[in-house]
Amino acid sequence: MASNFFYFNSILFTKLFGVFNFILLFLKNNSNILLLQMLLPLIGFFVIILYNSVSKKINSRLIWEFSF
Amino acid sequence: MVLSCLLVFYYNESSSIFQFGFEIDWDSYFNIHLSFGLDGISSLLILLTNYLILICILLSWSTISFRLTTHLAYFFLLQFFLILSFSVLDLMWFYVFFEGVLIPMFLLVGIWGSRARKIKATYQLFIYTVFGSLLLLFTIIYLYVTCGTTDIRSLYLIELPFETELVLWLALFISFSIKTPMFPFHVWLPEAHVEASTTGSVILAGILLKLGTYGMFRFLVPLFPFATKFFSIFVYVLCILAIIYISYTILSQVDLKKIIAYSSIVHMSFIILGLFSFNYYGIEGAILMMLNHGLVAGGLFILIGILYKRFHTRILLYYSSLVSYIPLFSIFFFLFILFNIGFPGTGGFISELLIFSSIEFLNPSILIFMFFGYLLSVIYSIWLYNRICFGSSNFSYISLFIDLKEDELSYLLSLSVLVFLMGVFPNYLCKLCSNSIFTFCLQFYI
Repeated sequence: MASNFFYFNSILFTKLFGVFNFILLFLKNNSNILLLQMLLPLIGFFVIILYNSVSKKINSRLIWEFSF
Repeated sequence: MVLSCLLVFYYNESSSIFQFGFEIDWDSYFNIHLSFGLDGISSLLILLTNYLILICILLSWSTISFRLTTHLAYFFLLQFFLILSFSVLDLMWFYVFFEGVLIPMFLLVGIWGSRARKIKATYQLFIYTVFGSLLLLFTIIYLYVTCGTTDIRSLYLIELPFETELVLWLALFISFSIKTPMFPFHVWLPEAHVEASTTGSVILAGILLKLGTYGMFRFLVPLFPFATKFFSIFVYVLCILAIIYISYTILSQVDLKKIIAYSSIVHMSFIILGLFSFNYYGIEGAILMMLNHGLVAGGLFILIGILYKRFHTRILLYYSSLVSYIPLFSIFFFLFILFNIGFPGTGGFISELLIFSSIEFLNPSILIFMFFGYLLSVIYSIWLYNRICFGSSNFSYISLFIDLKEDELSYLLSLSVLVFLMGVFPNYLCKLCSNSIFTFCLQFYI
């Protein structure tokens, strides 16, 4: 059980380190910082629009279910 | 916000070329490329954009009562278009993003505006800006047909006939002066401010007005240097008229937001005078004032928003003796009034000092009018504070007074600290944009 726990943790840390390393490498190129700077607000915009449409669908479904 | 801090941190001050650049080949047949890059000025404006958008998003939680998520979405869209406008190096694409800013702004004022006249104000904002954009489009098409490119780095090297320069300069100047706004194209701004929500006003005064002056700095002056020299007297006259006439207009206003909106027009005229001073220090002062005004006008609109939220009126006549009821608010209002005047130790002082000294070098007679305008701005600022915070109490109909809350205090405190830092350590900001200003001066004026 304990070995499984450590095995899982080591994989998790390797993956996390990999992601962290990728972010560092990505930001090392200065142009990527500007690119990311431009894309983040656009991603934020689409995430909110998606959230809005999904929450509206869920709400309408709940209303539909409660009406029965 | 973190990324924009990284942009400023990684920016190489010793280099005068555009940094962080990348290019997307959009249409090689028509020779139009989507190229991006930053210099010291645009990286500072992006930092200001992100900071004010962050404050507006946090502020929305307490000020926006309906459709909050949609409101946030429009703010993200606005941020996207603003960052692209400040970093794009192609005139055609600048036009697209410059116009793109209008879409979320139109919706922000139109949907979340405070009164019934918001629709009229929105259409006024839209029609004025679109009229200016048509002139900008005309200039872009002409430049593209004659030069075969809209990349500004190539356009900087091309010399046009003097008569053509004059016509194109006028078209571009009207377009940017509507956005700035400059007298006599300023009518839309007070209306839009009065009808917009607090967050809308913060963004409008803090960043959107800077798009016009940024356009002048990046496109108008470098593309048409001879026409700029030719029309400089005309610009000085317009700016001085704006400073004096609008300062007098402020003294007769009763709406708090209108007072700050008109005061923004006066500050923008000072910025344009600095830009057209053909002097290193004048341009440096104009850039510092752009940053300082973004923070100060933002703070003042937040303070007025707080008053409106508490008492549901912005009419000056209903307020007096606030210092006895909400002392913390009065302290911050006093601080921001001092920032607006350009009190020593604040960012406004340094920028005004640089602009005034460069104008003295250029033409001392303009300086006399500027001093008169400055005196008027001190008078209306102190008069406004005195009218709101002192005098006999007439709050017989209000029993509950709530001073600043923790969140409001934190926004105002962060803005005040930044303005103080700009005043005490302006050297860092000056160093950051010194090389781009120097190249700008060297290339076009000497």
